[in-house]
Amino acid sequence: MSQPAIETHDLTKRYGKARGITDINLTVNRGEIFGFIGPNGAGKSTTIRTLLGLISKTSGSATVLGYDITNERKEMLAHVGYLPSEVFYYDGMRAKDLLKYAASFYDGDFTQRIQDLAARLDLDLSKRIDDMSLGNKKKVGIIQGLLHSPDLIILDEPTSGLDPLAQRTFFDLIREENERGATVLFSSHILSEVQNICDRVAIIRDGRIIETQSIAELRRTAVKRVSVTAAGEVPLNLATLGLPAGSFAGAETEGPQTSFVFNGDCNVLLSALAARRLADVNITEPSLEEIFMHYYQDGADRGGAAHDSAAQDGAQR
Amino acid sequence: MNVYLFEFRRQWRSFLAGTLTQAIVAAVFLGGMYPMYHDSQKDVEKVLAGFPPRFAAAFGITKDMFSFGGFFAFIYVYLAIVAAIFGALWGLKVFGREKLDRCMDFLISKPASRMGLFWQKALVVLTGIVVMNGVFLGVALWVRTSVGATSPGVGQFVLMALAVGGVQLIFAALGALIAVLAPRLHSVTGLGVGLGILGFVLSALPPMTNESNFKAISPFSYFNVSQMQTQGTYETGYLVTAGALCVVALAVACVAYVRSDVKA
Repeated sequence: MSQPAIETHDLTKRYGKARGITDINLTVNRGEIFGFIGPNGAGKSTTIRTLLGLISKTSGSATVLGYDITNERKEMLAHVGYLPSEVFYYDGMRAKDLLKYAASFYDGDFTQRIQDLAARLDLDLSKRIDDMSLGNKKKVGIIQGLLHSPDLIILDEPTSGLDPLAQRTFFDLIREENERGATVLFSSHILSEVQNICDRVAIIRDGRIIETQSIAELRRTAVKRVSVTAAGEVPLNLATLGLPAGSFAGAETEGPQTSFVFNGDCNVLLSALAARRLADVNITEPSLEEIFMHYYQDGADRGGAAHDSAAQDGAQR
Repeated sequence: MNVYLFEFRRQWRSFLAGTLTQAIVAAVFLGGMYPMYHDSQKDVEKVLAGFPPRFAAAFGITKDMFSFGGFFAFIYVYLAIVAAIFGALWGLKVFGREKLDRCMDFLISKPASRMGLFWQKALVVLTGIVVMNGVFLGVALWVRTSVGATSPGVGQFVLMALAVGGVQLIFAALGALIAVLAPRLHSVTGLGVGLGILGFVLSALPPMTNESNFKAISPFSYFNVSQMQTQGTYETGYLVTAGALCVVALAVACVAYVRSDVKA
């Protein structure tokens, strides 16, 4: 079996005493689209920048496409395309000149490829990048990240600034690259995007991976969205249901209806509900956003201990 | 060599500006002013006699400035300041380009070793220095022939003129060091001009104070052009200091460029 596209072992980056990322254990298989989600400051960009050698790791190890990120960085980068979250380029350059310069780092002639990508993204390459809108600058970034048909595409918040039409084209391009065989690491805090395009996802919180699962698995976990409608006009009081503490979160009430996210034994939930007179019950798979919020709200409610154990679980998977 | 070619294309106008400036300064001073000084020696001596000795020394005014070599030693400090300013500017600009334009991510995420990037950039700066000093040397030799000067000899005069390139190398290395170590860069023009002027001010300290220890902190003074003119040699200790300063500045800059984290 071929080596994973990305494999990290206890990858850690510290900025003096400040936290960066801690003991990141991540395996991204070849050919998959892997989501990397977490709020701002969770450590997504730090992880990506460490993998690319933009910043040096403090400890741990990592390989990208089988190359050691420290000792074989140049060889590794020849096969990687990277789109940073914020795109800045040289002052006064036209897009075509910037892309020509970017292409000069790789073996081959990418003139046609650049033109094809520009046509797909509806980008005028003769314009100065300084005069471009944020969305068009992002398109330049997308082309420079994809022009050499890399084996691994690392996207850090790639859609910010893109209009919906350009986003659609962008996702089409990424899917085509993936069908060609490219692995994609997709970092975002826009969960609907991750949910739509990714095969698996890692959730990062406070510099640690707290969960790594497939999108399907993640939605199949014990975490469920529960919506119950009381038979009368008074909604259910969750506190009196007898559910274990910490097993429910995000409760919302509207009329006789109560919605909440439940994480626990479904038999306990069904027993608790069976003891009440209800007009309706709906138990559905939550959206990725609800799962994500569950992980974060859960952490905030219960402190870090539960997540430290989750992080270990995630690391062992 | 793609980085070299890219940087050269971004930098050639500044190389041209530096080369033309130095060529004009050399032509005006050596070709225009020297004959006037030489022809009006007695009148000029009368004027200079009224200058306070330390003030005159600070500006390199000596009794020998009526010979071609002596006049060159007199104007050396002005040639050196032009060279220092452009050297510092090029070091700052070429090594700080990605910091100035906030596009370090773009360059450093490309498949090139950081060491390779550093030396390609260094080669661009060196190209500018070689071109500028080559043209300057050509102009200076042409003027020497035009004014009919026979002393110093060609070899000795070339060695005197090379002092300007030596100063420029030092300031280019210092510019590179600052560019690499500075967390943020804003106005490299102001910084480059400031460094050149600082070099000029420091060069005035040893003659003004009669304290030769100040020469150690005055890069312009590492190359004693007057001594080269009269004795045919530079001061070995200061030559070594100049070389060591260049090597250490570049080595530290190189290590920092290779190892430092790229800020987002």
